[in-house]
Amino acid sequence: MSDSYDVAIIGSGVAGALMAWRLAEQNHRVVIFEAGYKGETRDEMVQRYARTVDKTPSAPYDDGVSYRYAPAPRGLDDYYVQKGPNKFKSTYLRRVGGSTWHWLGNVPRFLPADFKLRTLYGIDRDCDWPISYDDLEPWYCEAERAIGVSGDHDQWNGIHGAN
Amino acid sequence: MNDEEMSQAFMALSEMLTGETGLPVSLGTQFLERLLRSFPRILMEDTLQIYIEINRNGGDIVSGVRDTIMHHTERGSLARELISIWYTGQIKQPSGESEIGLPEHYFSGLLWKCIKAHPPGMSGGGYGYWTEAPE
Repeated sequence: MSDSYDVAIIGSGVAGALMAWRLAEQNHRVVIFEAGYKGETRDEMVQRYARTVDKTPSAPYDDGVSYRYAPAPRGLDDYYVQKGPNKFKSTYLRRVGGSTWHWLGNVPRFLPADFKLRTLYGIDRDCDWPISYDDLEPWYCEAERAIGVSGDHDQWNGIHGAN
Repeated sequence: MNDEEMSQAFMALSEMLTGETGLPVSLGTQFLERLLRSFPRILMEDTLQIYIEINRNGGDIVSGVRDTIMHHTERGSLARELISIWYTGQIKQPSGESEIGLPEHYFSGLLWKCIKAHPPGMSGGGYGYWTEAPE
């Protein structure tokens, strides 16, 4: 294994993995650092879920060993600094592939208006995004192609500015 | 009641209580074993024997099952867990503890057919199946 790389990527979740893939396609030398371990196979996780009495969202993943190399991000305050009144309530996985293994499987886009909540609706606690929906739109398409998102595009045309 | 008689009666009562016919015998054998680990054998034999007699006597079998099995404290408790094991693969033991069996018991549950869905973690096909309209 080489000790010289062009790019180091922290985390092997979907974002890190896609970036690594695209960079490697361009012949860059990429190393991915992942705090978690490889983990069980999908089939093993499904079997674990089936054998668990309390079928919580985390039930497939509690194998007791995934966090051997790094602290487990199990609490709501372990990743984010949650200063607001309403905490972002989501859990994470520490393993190769990241929390993509623990994902609902839906990828809704932001609407154009979501980028201008302050301008459009005067919501004081929010500010407008520094970029617009149009800036992101091509990348939505790239990501959806890579993930394999399906849907009838024609159904969305013209809705809330979608095109 | 010998084991074969018990097995046959168990399958017959299972079809009656679940409302399903053609239940897999291999699964029934495993479910019977699991229920016998949690409930006294004498209770199982008693319940099955009563069902055999209800059938033999003819008449309103549903009322007979309801009145002499479902409304009976111990037999009713066993009968409800019999239904649960076929539908969910899981039972509540008399102690109050939940007992779950092999993964196949969960995946084979009758509830999936009942609600027209597949178990969590079991997809409707290979990669890309979601691009096709459901049958």
